[in-house]
Amino acid sequence: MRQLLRAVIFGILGYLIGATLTWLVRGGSLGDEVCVVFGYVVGLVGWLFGIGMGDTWVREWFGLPARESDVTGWKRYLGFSTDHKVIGVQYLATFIVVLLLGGVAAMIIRFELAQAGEGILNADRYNQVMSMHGILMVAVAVAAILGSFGNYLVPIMIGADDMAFPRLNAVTFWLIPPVAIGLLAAPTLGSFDAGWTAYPPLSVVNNGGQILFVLAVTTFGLSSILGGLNVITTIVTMRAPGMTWGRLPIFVWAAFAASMISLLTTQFFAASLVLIAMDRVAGTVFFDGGAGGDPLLYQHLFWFYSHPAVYVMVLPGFGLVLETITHMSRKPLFAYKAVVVSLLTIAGLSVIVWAHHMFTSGMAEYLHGPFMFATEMISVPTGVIFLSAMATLWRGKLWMKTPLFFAMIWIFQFLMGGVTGIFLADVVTDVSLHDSYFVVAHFHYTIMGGMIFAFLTGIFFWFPKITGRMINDRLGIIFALWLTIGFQLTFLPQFWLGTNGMNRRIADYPDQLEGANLFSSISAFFLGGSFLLLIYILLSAARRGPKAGDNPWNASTLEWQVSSPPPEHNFSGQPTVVGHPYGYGTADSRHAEFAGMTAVGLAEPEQAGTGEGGDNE
Amino acid sequence: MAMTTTPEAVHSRAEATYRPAANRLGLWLFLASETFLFSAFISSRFVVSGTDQPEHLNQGLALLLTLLLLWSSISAFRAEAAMAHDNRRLFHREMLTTIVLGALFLVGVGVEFNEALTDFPANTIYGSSFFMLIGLHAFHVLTGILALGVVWNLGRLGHYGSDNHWPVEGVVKYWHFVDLMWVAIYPTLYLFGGS
Amino acid sequence: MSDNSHDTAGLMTVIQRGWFTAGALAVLTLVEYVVATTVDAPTLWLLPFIVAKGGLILEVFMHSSDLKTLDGGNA
Ligand code: HEM
Ligand SMILES: [Cu+2]
Repeated sequence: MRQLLRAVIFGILGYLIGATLTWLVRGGSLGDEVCVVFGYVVGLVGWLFGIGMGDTWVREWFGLPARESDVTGWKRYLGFSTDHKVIGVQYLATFIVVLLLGGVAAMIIRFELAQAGEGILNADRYNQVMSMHGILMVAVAVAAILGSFGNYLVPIMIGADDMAFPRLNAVTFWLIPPVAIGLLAAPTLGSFDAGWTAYPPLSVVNNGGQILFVLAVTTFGLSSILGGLNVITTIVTMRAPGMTWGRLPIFVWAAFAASMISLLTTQFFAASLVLIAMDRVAGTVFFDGGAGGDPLLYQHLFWFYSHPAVYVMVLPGFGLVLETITHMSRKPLFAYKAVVVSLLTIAGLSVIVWAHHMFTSGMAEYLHGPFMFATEMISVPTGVIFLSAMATLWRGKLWMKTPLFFAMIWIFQFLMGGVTGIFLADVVTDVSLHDSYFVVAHFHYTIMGGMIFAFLTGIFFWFPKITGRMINDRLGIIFALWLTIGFQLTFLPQFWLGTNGMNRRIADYPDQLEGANLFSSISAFFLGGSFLLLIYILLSAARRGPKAGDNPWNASTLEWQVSSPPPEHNFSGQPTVVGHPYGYGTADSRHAEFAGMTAVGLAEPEQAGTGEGGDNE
Repeated sequence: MAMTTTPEAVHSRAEATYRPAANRLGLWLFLASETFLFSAFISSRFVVSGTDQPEHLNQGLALLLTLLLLWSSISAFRAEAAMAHDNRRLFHREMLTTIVLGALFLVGVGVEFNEALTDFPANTIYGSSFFMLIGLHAFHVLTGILALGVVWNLGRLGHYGSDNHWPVEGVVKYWHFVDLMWVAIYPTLYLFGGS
Repeated sequence: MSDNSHDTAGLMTVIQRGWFTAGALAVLTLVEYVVATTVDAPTLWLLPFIVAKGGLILEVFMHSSDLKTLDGGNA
């Protein structure tokens, strides 16, 4: 608490100092964008110093001993904790809140679109709300799974006591609040309205809120890069004895592949935004066609990150879903090795397909073919992952609890997203579909279907581990069905709308599209309502849910072999890994041995399935 | 951190200062990531202006800066080798040399910027790339100098030894990386365009 | 790099290697400059210089070979 307060004060002071000094040096007004830029940078430094870097790193830089925080209990969640489990929960809570905020913006958008003509929002306001919705949701999609489950699960799954760089990990998380503040403060400077993609020339000439967008999103990029760095280093250097690359749980592999992408390609997003900032405040002309610049440069830089970013969103989701499916169908993961190869192949291919977002941009014609081909190549490894999910379920002993429900719905959702992607990857069809509601429906199926549904799968599967309490399964299934039905009713009509002339990012539309839009809007409110149930489920389970015990799902991976929630350093003794993680159905298969603990057995589902919250140990 | 375990134990397990494998890999990954940032800017330069360059480039100064940075690389290299062999006096001297050379480099960049402002200001297409790339690189030189200063000071206070000098190794690696980026930036801005 | 403490001879060998490398880099830089100012459209001519200089820096100055021993040992 004290740290947080200090961080806020230092942050504000830093902003004032940076902005004022700049103003004194160059004149003009305090609200000028240059002042905002320097204010933000100094404020960010002040914030980080106040939250805990000052106590740890900065003191050590000057040869002083670090002051470690000695806060205990729930207060750890409000301060600079280096415990990966605390950080995982911090991410989880933060991004659920951001998801809900983005959801509110979505409701406003659908309210406006329920009828043709101008309603509650004029065209400018509409673009601002739409841009805010977009960037908040993209932030959720990029960081929610890697931040929360990546932090919480990866070290335990590989038998380590923490991440490789615990302090860096804390800094990585505490970079997020300034991002949220920066974005939400944008209306004070007139908001940003260039969408989450921030294409110039608009993003160079629009209101001052765009500069806050640039600063906040660059900070967010820094956080993703550092997070990726930490995850990779942890996986490479911190595995328990016997945890060979071939024995890594599949989520760890997925986090590894996604982290590779975010470590490297995020820099291109940062670069593209820095160039926007330079054009705005330093008078450069990178995107000014009249002065010899090239607006298409931005699109190339941007998509060189932002296409791979969709795999940062979805690969960890693949991991969570595959974990859940293998544990809850009591079968070894089908084609483990092929899945690993596919994850890495997707990560590799993801950097050579970016221009499929630019087929109608006017870029050189000869680029169309290669980018179309490369994009369609990615369907192959993606298909392998699908096959693995289906074949693992095939003739398994399905344990139809909420997490498996979500995982199976996920298969359908992502299938819809992937199949519609083919039409967008194909130049001939994309020329008509680009910038229409078909694209909107496509990426909602892939991102909301592929990432949010996987996130929910993960929440329902690991909630007992994180909190030590079970979720009400009946409510969970009601929520899953409610959400899924609402989702189809909202987004299926949007494919039709797209092919019938409804443009993307537009507040008004031809009158004859009103019926389908109204239907989609009403469904969207129905869909939005389901999240109230989710909040109720999570809060009531956290307070009153029955005790979960160590291993309510009788799962084999390491995180289930310790108490719920796990003890401070995860393991009391050093675990030794002796076998494959998913040896279900093989009598004497074992994954790990612990000092002072019996080998990890793999009970049959009958045994495990009886009674919620039964303590199996 | 909960107080149930001793804070010292927590500290030494989670945050040991000398874990060569993790530290080295972490730094290499960071540098790999930075390489992507530099590549983004270097390729932007080629996209907007090919290899065109103006006639007024101060080639002499640029060559001098290149050699200055090279000189600072060898002094940084010597500083690291010295600490690896417990030769504190040499370490001390070479670190200071590196810092001074780095500062001189920045002064040179200042002169360069000043000339550029009249010859090819930021609102020309070459000027945009020039200020962007040189500015990005100078920013890295500046952070490198600050980091060298911190490590030099800690070394002076007796913090490192031959078996425990990761920060020295790390900061020197970073410094060489900044030089490595210059190897690409220098021809990009000054040489590819020919004369 | 060897970690022999108090081993002046060892230190001298290491440093000598550094000087050789720096010398090579300086020569490469000067030749690069001469090539650039004499040849028309020198881009392709300069690429080998960039690769050679970068390679030397990575190999000698940045000890890129320590990447080979980074795995935690469980591979
Ligand atoms: C399975 C293979 C996939 C293919 C072939 C594919 C193809 C495409 C193509 C060609 C576009 C550009 C459409 C246009 O603007 O005209 C597009 C847009 C988009 N896709 Fe996909 N996609 C696939 C999977 C995904 C996944 C997994 C995600 C996210 C998790 C995703 C998220 C998006 C987003 C966000 C956009 C819109 C970007 C924007 O303009 O704002 N896609 N997709
Ligand atoms: Cu894409």
